[in-house]
Amino acid sequence: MALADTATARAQRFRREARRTSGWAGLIYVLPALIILVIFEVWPIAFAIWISLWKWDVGPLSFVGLANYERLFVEGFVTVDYDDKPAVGEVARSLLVTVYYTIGVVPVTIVLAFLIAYLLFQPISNRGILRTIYFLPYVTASVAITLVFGWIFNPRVGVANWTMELVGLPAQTWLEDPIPVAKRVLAWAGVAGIGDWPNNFAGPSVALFVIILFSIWSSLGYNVVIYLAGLTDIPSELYEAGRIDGATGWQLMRHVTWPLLSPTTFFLSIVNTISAFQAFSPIYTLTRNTGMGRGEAGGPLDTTLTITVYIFRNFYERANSVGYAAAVSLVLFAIILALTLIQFRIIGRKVHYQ
Amino acid sequence: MIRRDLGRWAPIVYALLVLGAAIALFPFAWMVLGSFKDVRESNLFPPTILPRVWHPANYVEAWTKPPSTLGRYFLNSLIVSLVGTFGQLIVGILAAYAFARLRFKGRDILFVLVLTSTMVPGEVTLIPNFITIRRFPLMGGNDLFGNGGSGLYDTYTAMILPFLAGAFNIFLLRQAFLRVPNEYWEAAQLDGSGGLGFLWRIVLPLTVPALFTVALFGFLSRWNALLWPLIVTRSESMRPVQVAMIYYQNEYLTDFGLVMAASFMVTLPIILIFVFAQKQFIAGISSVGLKG
Repeated sequence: MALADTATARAQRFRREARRTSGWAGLIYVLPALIILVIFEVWPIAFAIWISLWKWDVGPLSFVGLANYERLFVEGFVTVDYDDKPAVGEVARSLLVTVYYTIGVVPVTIVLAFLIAYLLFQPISNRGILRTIYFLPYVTASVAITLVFGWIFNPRVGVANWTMELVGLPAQTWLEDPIPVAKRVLAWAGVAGIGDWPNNFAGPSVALFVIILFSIWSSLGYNVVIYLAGLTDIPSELYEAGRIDGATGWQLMRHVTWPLLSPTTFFLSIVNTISAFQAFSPIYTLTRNTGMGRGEAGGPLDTTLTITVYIFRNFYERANSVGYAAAVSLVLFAIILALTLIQFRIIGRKVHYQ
Repeated sequence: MIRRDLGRWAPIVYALLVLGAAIALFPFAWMVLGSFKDVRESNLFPPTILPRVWHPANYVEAWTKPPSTLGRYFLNSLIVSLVGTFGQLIVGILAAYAFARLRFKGRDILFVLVLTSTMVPGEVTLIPNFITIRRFPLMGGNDLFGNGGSGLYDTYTAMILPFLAGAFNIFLLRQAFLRVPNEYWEAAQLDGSGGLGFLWRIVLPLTVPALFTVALFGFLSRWNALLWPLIVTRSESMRPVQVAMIYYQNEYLTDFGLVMAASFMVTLPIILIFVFAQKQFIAGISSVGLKG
C-alpha cells in the first residue's frame, strides 16, 4: 500500500515536472514543421493577395490595385467576339469547363465505386486480387500512364477507334475534337435540333470526355477502398435483424447499407469535388499538343481549359499575367471553400452517423 | 455483415467484377505490349494486339536517348522521393509527438493552424511559393533580400522543402501516437525516460504501420508529381521522371513503342512497391480516409 502510494506520488511529481520542462521541448519539436508550414502554406495566402494587386511578370511592375479582379469579374465573364457581339469570357468559360469535368467525374466515380465495393464485399473467390487490380490505377496515375491514354485515343492509330469500328460506330478524333459529346451523339443518332445550341452550353467536349474517362479510371480504386472500409464497419446485427423481418437483398442495400454508408459517401463527395477542381496533370499531358499550335494545354479551342489550367496558362505558359493568375487562384480558393461548406450544409444534414 | 450466399447471381457478379478489372488493367497491358512494338508497328491501323516482331530495343533506346539518359531522371526522382520521404518522417514524427504527448504554450492553437493549412489548395500556394523559391535569401547567388540570383530555383531543395511538413502526416501520426496505451507513458515517466529516447525506443516501434503509411504515400506523391517539379526546374539534368515523360512526349511524338517503354520503366517502381506493400497501402487509405 505504502509502496503504491509512493509510486503514485512519484508519478505525479514526474508528470508535474514533465509539464513544466516540456514547455520548451514541445515547441522545439514542432518548430521545423511550423516554420515550413508558415513559409509554404500560410504566408502564401497573404503573399498571393499582395501579388494579385500588382501587374507582375518576372517581378512586380506596377501596383494596379483591384484591376486584376476587374479583369477577372468583368472581361472574364462577358466579353465581345470578333463581330462585337457579347460572348462568354475566359473565366466564365473555364469555370463552366471545370463544372462539366466535376459533374462528369464525381457522381459516376462514387456510384461505380459503391457498386464495385458492394460486389467485392460478397464472398467470392480472388477478392484480394480483384481489389488489388482496382486499386492499381490510383497509385500509378501519373504522366507516364496518361501517355498510354494518349496513344489509346490517338485519332489515327488508337485502339479506341478500332473498338468503335468493331462495334459499328463512327471513328472520332477524341482529344482533338472541341464539339460537345451531346452534339456528336445526337447527330449520330439522327436527332436534329441542338445543332445551333452554343457549344459552351452544351456540355463537355469530346476531348474533355476522354479526360473524364481517364479521371474516373484513375480515381475509382481509391473510392472503392474507402467504401470497403465503410462496409466492414457496418455491424452484422443490423442485417440479421433485417433478414428476420423478411427484407430482401435489395431492401437491405437500400435501407441499411446505403444509409449507413452515407458518411462515407459524404466524405468522398467532398474529397472528389475538391480534387476535380484541382485536376491538372492529365489535362496538361493529354491536351498540350491539341492547342492552337502554341503548345499550350487546354485545347482544342479551350474546351479542356479548366480553371487550374487557366491559372497555369497565365502564370507559366504565358508568364506575363502572374498578378492576374494569383487573383484567379484566390477566387478558386473561395469557390472550393464555399463548395465544401455547401456540401456540409446540404449533404451533412442527411448523413446518418452510427 | 452483408456477406451472404449469392446463389444464382454469383456468376453474374463475378463476370461484372472481372470485366471491370479487365478495364482497369487494360492500359497497363497495352503499355507493356506496345513497348515491344517498333515505330512502324505502333502506327498501324487497325493496331496489332501482340507485337508481330518483338522489339526490345525500345528499352535501350528509351534509356539512352535523353541527353543525360533516363538514368539521370531516375536518380533525380530517387533523391527527391527518398530524401523528401525521410525528411517528412522526421519533421512529422517530432511535431506529432509534441502534439500528442507534450504540453506547451499554444499547443492547441498551433495544432488548429496545422489542420487548417490542409484546406489551402495547391493552386493558391503555387505562385507565391514559386516566387519564394526564386527569391530565397542567401541562396543561389541571392542577397539577403532575395535579389540578384536564382534562389533555390532548379535545385533538389526546391522540390523537397515545401512538402516536408505535410500537415496531413502530422495529423495521422498524432492519431497513431495517441493510441499508444497510457501505461507506457506512465511507466516511462516513472523511469524518468521521457523525451526522445522514449519516442525512439517505445513509441516508434509500436506505430510502425502508421509510419509506413506516411512513408509510402510520401514516396508515391513525390514520384508521381508533375506540376511543382515542372515549374521549379529548368535543366533536364535536375528534372524527375514524370517531367522526363513530357520530354519523351515532345521528342517522340509518334514513336509510341519507345514512349511506352519509357512509361513502363518509370511506372515499374511504383507497381513493384504497390505489389509488395499493398496491405499497408490499403490499410493506410482506409484509416486515413475516414477513421483517421
